Amino acid sequence: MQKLTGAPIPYFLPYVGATATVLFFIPAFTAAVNILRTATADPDVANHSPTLRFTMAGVVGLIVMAVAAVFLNIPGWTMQLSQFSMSGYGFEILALYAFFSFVMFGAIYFIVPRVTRREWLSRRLIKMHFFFSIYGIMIIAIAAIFGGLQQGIGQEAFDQPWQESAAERAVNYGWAITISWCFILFSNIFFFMHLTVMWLRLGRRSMHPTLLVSDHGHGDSPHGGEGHIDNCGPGTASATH
Amino acid sequence: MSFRTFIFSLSASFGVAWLAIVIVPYIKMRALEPIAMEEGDGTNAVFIPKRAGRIADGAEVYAANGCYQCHTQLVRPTYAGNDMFRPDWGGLQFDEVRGDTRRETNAFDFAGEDFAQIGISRIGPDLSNLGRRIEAIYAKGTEPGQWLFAHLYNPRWKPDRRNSTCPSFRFLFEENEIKGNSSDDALPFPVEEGMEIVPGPDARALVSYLLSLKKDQPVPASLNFGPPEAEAAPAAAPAAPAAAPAEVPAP
Repeated sequence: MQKLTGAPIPYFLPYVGATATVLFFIPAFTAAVNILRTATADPDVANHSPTLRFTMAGVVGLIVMAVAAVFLNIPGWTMQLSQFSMSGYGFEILALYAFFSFVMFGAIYFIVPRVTRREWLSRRLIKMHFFFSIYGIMIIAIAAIFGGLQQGIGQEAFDQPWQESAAERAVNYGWAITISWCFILFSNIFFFMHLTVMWLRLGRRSMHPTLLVSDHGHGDSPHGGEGHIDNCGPGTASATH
Repeated sequence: MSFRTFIFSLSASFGVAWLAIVIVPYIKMRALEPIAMEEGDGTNAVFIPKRAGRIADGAEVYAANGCYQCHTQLVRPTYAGNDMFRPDWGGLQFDEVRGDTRRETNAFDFAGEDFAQIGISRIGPDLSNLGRRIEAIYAKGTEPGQWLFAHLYNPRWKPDRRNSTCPSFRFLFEENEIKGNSSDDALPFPVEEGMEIVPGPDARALVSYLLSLKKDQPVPASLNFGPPEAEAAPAAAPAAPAAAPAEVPAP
């Protein structure tokens, strides 16, 4: 609601919005630090599991988002720069993609093998999905938030024409955002193919989860020993064991 | 905590927020009473802007094409930003008849619209006074509607707008065969022999809406938060006659 400061809305609304922002910052930061400190107690497990890796990236996104919510709304400084500039867009993408989508990807990597009784096919596809997404979202967030502040500086320069001061400052950051969306598109095309193959029940028939470990120096499969192979599917006698 | 307390707290948490963010503002913003002007030369006019007809249709075209994504209709007060100081946003700094007409946006500026198109970002400039700006600056001395039709058809048409990031809205225009005389609204863009480009119904509605954006009419004193120098002259004038009768009986 601070985004509408100065608009003809009831005067208490921006203050309610500011209160809500601070109230949101405290539990988000606390919960995120709690989860991260717990997960980093065993860095190897967190590093090797696709689920934990995506979830932790999402939790880091939650911290960045909570900090950005306060940073972008400081009255007299960033408030008028972020109002009506790309910063608001960057903040929304942080919430939608850097936090929510990453946590949901983590959940998908956990849930789908248990539903389909197949394991993820390729750790390379998972890694591609992770790294293209994480670099894409980082560039989008940085370009939109700081480009938006630049745009806001141009917007406040009232003695300069709008086109030269604000619009042309913003356009290069807009290009950066578009290119990094291509990164995310690329990563999600591969994720979609991987997920489709899983739903078609063409995943690995193994009881060992696909972990993001390197096979260098191990000799055997990067997934560990094959263990019990499930050839039967649900409803058969062996599936119940 | 009992189940009853839990349900009550849950309802209160969301209910209070819903009440404060949705219900109370909705009721307050829908109950705008006309305000008497109470100033100037004894006018008993009331301040209640109206919109009608094709202008209201144009607001729908404006919303349907996502204009609000890149354009705002909000001139912020000076505590929230520097919009008021731009020479052509809150009105015109050098209006030929009325002088400096710049003012902040108020709730009455959106009266008669189903939805207040405040906008969410400013990739393009603010449109609160686009009608004034086109008539007085962009299309000075020419037909404002024609200028705006050409701008919507190709925003990068004029050399000084070659870097515009505004998308082209060619799909709002029609290419027709010329029968008899060509249309008065035909656009000056190259087209096949015997054909002409004319605005469609949506383009006409949108342009009449955009040209109606003139949110710089004089406002009652209770809504006028303008810079003090604009007020200094009228404020000083009534003060003098008030002081004068007081001095008359003294000698």
